[in-house]
Amino acid sequence: MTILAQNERPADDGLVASGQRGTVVLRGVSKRFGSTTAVDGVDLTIPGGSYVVLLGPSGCGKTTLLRMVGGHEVADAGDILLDGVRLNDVPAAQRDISTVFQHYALFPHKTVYENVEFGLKMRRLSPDERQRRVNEALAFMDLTNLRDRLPKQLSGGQQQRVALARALVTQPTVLLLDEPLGDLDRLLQLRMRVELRTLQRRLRITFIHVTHNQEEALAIADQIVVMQNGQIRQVGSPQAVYRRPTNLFTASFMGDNNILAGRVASVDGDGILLECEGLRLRARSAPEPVVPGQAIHAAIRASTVRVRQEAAAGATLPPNCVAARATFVEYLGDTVKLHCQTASGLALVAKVPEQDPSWQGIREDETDLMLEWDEDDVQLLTS
Amino acid sequence: MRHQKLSRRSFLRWSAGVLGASLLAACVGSEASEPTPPSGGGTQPTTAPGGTQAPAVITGVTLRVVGTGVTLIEPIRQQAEKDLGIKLEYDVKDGPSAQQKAATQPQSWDLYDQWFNSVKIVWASGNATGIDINRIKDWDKISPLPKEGKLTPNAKEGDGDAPYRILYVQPDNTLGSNPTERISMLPLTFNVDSFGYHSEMVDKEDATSWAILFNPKYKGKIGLYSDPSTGLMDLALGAQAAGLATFKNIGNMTRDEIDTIMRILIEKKKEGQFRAFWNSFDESVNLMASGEVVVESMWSPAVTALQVRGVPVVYASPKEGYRGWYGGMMLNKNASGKTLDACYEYLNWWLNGWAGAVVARQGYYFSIPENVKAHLPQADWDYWYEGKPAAEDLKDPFGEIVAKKGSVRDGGSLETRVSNIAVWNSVMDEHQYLVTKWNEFLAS
Amino acid sequence: MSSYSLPEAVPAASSRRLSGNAVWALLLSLPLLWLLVFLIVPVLVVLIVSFFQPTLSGFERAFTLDNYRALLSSGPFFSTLLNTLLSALITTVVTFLVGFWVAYYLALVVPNLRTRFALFIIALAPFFTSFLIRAVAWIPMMGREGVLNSALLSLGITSQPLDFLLFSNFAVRVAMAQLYLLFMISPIFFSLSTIEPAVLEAARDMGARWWSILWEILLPLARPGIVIGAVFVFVLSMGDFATVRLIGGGASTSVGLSIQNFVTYMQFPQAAAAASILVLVTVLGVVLLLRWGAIGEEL
Repeated sequence: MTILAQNERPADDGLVASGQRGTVVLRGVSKRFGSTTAVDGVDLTIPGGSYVVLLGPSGCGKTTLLRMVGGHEVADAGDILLDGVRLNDVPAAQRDISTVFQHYALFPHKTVYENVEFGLKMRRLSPDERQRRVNEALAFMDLTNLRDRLPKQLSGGQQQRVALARALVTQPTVLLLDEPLGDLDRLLQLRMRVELRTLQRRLRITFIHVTHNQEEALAIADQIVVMQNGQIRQVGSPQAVYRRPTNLFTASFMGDNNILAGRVASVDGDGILLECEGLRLRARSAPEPVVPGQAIHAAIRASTVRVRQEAAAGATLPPNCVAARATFVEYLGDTVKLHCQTASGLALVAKVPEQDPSWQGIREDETDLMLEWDEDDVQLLTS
Repeated sequence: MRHQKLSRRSFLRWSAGVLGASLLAACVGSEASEPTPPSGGGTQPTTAPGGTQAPAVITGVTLRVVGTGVTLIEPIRQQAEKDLGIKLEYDVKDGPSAQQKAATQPQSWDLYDQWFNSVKIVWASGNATGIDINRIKDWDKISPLPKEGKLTPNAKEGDGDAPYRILYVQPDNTLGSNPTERISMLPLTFNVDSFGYHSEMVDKEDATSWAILFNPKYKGKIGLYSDPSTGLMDLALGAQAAGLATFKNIGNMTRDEIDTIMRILIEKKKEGQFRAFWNSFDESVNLMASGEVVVESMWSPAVTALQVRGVPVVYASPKEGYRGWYGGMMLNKNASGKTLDACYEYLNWWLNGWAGAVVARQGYYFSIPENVKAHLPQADWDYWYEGKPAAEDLKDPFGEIVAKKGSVRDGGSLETRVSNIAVWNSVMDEHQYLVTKWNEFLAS
Repeated sequence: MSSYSLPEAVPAASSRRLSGNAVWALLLSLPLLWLLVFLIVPVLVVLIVSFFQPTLSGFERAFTLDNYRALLSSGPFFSTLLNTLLSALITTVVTFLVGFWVAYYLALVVPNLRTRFALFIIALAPFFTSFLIRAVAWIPMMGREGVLNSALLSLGITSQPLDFLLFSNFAVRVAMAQLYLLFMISPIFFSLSTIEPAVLEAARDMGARWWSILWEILLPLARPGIVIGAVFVFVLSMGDFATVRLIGGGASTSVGLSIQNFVTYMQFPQAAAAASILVLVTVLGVVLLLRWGAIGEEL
């Protein structure tokens, strides 16, 4: 299958040691629009054949970064390299990179077939070759029976598949996707993100995907790059970014984290003790060394908080344990979110599986609760 | 149409209208319709000797006059309102548009102030009625030219619609030369037209004949009037003078004659003899001023306008004769009562010569020269009517100098010029055929 | 409980919809009425008059085919019609060739909206003055002693003034193109403006050069605008008589001018017959243009 030609490329076999093709390296890349800095000195290495998601709120610079890789925007400073070759001055068309644009940017006057054929036509491939490869791409994306439709006659999901086929038919080593699921309804989003992931696995080329949706990033990515204000805040696997946010922005952006402001009380060989508005926390470690007295934020994921229905014994509680009452029980189907308030007025959220009996029978503002969590689940946000 | 300074004039008309209205109100209020003597200023004609006292019965009547800018000019309207105590609405249009309105919208006018060459058409529309000469006080003083066809016994009569041929309403309601007591149009102003030429670019010898229009020397530098009746007349005179064609009656051609002249014209047009066809007074001035043409069929005020601008243009006096035209007024058949009385008062007022003196200074003659003379300073009279050198700088009715001291009117005195009329502006029997053919000529 | 409110809500909504429909019907009938009064009735009147017998000062209500017979058997009328058609086609093509690039520049090259708007207004500027003034201004520009001829002479490009620059078919076509350019620019500008920039980016991303983008993307997407502009310009130049009269100076001609002459000399039935023929030819031309536009869409 032509679209899978990555496998057949001799370079692949011969260059095992140097890793897969499609490695994108950014060094000190910056971009300004007037007085605003969209991308601010980004250093990033995207391994060949990986699925990387650039995640951040709108205006964080993720799309600009993607466009610079694609050649649709010129970097003001820094280097963009693909497999060791500097791309900055290479026109978009000559980069071995294709883009699936936001809203797909299909040619409205061309049929599905013509849309997919366009890149090959521009590369002046012979009509026979074009036909063969377009038909393969259509078959691959399951579009064969839609080949004569115009874009406006297609559903959102179908349009997205056309955009993918159109981008992939030229056999790029890197595929850029700008909010590819943004135009789809939620159910289709869920399905398409699985399909995207599967597609990338089959193609084994680099996918760089931009989104503002954390859940989507977590579901798809090999590596998530969290961005804010033109800078990278954290890079890591979905688990790492989700479980071990290293900074306040990542922790709050990934959602469902209880974030507490406090101060380092003491540091010893076993861990770190914190004081957060009357609540004592104990953490196993910190991303960076901390000293007693240092102001700090801590994050505790709601799903790591356990709930017991019992009143405080009166005596001082151990760290990572607090008495509270639920102000609101939010039933979400597969999980239940308990919005709690401690005696000292701190708001904490606990999320328990629906099957878990611990939330059954809790009456809002009445039932005394004990909330606790493991010290492994206390994340210190130092960077 | 003959002399249009639209923007300035319409402003004048508007302001004068306001003025006139308030004046009128004052007159009505005081029941005093005493004629106000015209101002004796340098640009105005001298005072009318004891202007006609308007009968109180017509005071306050509004007369609607549709016509052209040749005679529908502001000084005349103001003076007439003052003298007659009536209100005048001038509807100033170009010739064809005025004719169209007269023929198709009888409810919109009381008097039609145009030229004899449109009499047949407006009469045919049935919208006009005969003017009773018994109610025209100065009828007998009107010169023989429009009544009998000649000013002097030796003069040429001229082919075509000479006014006297269509002046009198015959018992069968047709128009003819047999005198009756009712006339189709009251003859007022007239002139003779020819062509103007740029005296530095054209040999004087060549300009003594209409044949110049076909002279290869001036190929591509000839300007013509796009109107079929007058434009064709000039060309027919030229073709005849150049020996290209002959006509039994140049003012009333047969179909064959029309076909012949058209064949010649189309051929000449394709050879590039004619540079442009103009439609308005201003266009005719611009064509000559911008150097597009050096010989141009045009009206005498256009020549004056060019001379004032310093363009050395001479109005030719062709040996074959001029093309004459006569202007006047027709009466709407619907005019009755006070309005009809006012119409007659206005016609009589016109004949007293005050208005004739105004148009004289645009180069037009008047049916009763002696009445004009009474209102015109001697210098103006000598220049315009007698063909003598101007004794001083002469101005037109709007105060602009039109003749420098010492200059002489092209063609000489009234008598000389009017005695040499080759043809009158006419509506031929084959008018409709001519219009179609002329269209084809323009289209070729 | 909520199920009770639903049946109640339905009749209320439908009655509201009914009155809404009445309003809509009224609103829609207004343009129809407009069309009827200002288009269909006049066309019918013209058609009827074209079968009347002309007289010296109008017409008689007697049926005749002579007006058509005279026109259709007249060589000059046919050459006038052909010349009108040719002028209209040339004007349409020229305004397209020029107007497309102006629209292209405005819609796709000028980056910011304010500049774009300012330039559009500047492009409109000549249309702030009256047609007559613009037409009269051609004489000092294109005349024998005009600016252009003087420049050509002083540069030694020509040794004699070029007469065809004024009072010629050439001059009329240039003037009409200038006059009607805006009617081509505007619709093309609007169709080019609706193209998503990402679509052009996508084309470039796939290796399309400037020429391919023009041919594969811009022209097909601008086609509705081009067709509308072409219909505008074609119809306007088919009916033109004022430009032909003033710029043509008698050396050029059009059916519109013939009609005007017929009307001026009150030969209304001939004018009506010529007008009917002109309308027929114009409508045929428009149908062909629209069909061409529609076929393009299908391909």
